Amino acid sequence: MKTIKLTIAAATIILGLSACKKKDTTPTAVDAGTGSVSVSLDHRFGMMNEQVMAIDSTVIHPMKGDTMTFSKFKYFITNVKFKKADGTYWTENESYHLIDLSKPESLKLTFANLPVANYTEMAYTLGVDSTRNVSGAQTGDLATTNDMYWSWNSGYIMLKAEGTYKNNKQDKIFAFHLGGFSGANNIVTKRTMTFDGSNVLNVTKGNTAAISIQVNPRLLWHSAPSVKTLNMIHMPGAEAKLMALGDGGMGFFANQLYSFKLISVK
Amino acid sequence: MLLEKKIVLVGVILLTFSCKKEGKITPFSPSSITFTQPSNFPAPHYTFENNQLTQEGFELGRYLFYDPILSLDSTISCASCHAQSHSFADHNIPLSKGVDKKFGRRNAPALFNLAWSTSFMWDGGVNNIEVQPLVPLTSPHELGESMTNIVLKLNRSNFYLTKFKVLYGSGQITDQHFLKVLAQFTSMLVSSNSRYDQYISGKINFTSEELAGYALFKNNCASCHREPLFTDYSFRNSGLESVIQDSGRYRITQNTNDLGKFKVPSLRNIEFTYPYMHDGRFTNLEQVIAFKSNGIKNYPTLDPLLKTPFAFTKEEQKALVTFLRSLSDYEYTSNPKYAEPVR
Repeated sequence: MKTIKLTIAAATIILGLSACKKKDTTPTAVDAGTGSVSVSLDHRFGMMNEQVMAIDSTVIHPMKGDTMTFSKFKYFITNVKFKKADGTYWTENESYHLIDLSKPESLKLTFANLPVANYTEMAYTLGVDSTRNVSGAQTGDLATTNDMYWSWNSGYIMLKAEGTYKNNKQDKIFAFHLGGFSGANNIVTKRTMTFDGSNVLNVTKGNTAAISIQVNPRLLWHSAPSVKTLNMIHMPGAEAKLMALGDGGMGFFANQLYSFKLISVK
Repeated sequence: MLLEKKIVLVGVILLTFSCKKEGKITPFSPSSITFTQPSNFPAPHYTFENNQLTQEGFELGRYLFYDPILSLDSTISCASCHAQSHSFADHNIPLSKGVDKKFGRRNAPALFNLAWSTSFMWDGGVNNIEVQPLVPLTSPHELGESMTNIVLKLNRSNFYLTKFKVLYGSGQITDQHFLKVLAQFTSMLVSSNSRYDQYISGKINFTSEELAGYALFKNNCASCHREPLFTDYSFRNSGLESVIQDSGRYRITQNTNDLGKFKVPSLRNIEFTYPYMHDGRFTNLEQVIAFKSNGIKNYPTLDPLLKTPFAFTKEEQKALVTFLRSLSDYEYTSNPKYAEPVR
């Protein structure tokens, strides 16, 4: 009798403890667990990424010869997803990341709860998709308080580069605000980075796979003229496209070979 | 007490409390309200998607609309240049004064039926009602404040912290919350009870002069000033200048075909909103109709519909002005729910 009572009592406790346990959100047949991926962005200048780019330090453009000091360098990486070897994707929710060279914490992106798997590709977008440009007030990294939004001509500033350059030993100001999400002015660019050979992206249970990338903004001036000729862009249009996309897709947003270079996966 | 009983009791207590959600202690939940579409109006453009319309949200937007805290030096509110008695246009001045007594570039438009508007500002540069306030708030010629400072100031105010918490449950006011509630107020500004509306719904008869004016209007003006909203929201060069002073829509599109084009303004409540045109050059309706009649200037982007002068007679001009006055909605300009709230 006592045993039965105890059993009922114990069962009640178990019931109480487990009554409202949330359902597992991962519906995978065999739950192999999850891991994380971090992406570190190291900003470089120069032809061979040999110049370190940092706020308030001087760099020299390898093709134009311009001596430039950046006081601001910000841009959006958005809609990040990782492709598994089986061709399916893990997609980040609300995937909007404002990269700000003055904020070290923004230079390392962390993606948590990726299913354990071998991933062959990272797909991402430079710029902010047209939907978020026309859907009213946003939040997080897309908040208007981040100074990356044009009030008078609705839309996100997708890249902001400000600073000074030398002209006849004098410091002059440059300010490039690049954007444009529709029609002929669209600069939003979808990109991929492939993991193969020595750079295999294996997400294992409870661990963080670390991706290191060098970013080289010199490509903004691949097709655009010297900063001495063009030092201001404040709206979407042909000039913004020249910097972001460039001739023959050689600009900073469009260049798949040199603007974002995979260094290692660990 | 027996051990079993104790254990059962613990289990029951656990059962009782295990389903309680965490941290959801709100004094009361906001009350939903619905947007009323006037029977003779089409469906609105703004649908409150991702912006649940509530009485508290609307009221909070109204507080903000009238609060000078939003300007750089706390001297100017939205209502300073958008007065209800003028159908939320400025107080009969061509250009409005902002902080530091700087003048704006264009005539402050009247605010009503904004939920139907497909774009905002004279040049249509703003694509969503929620982000429209960013222009006047941050322009140095208007409220001259930064969004960062506005959010900072709101978060220092116990009045606003309490009111926003009811809506969003968060102890932190964001720019998104702020812009959403402001849009709840501005999109609820509906004007649909003019003599014209009463005539259309069969409640009253027009005078013979109103009827004559309405007939002229339908034949000559209604293709751009489309009923019942009295605009088609397109951008057109109305022939004000043969040398363009203000590039208008071109500023947004950089397309030379848009030089000197401005959004077709609604003619509702036009009696209250003088002076007229994007620069406030005409002080009364008689001048506007006289200009439309014989004063239109040629320019490559002039609207094709305006290339032949209307050449209205004096009687026709008078009848048109009389009809335009039938578009005045006195209920709108005196409705207490849009008036400055008491704090």
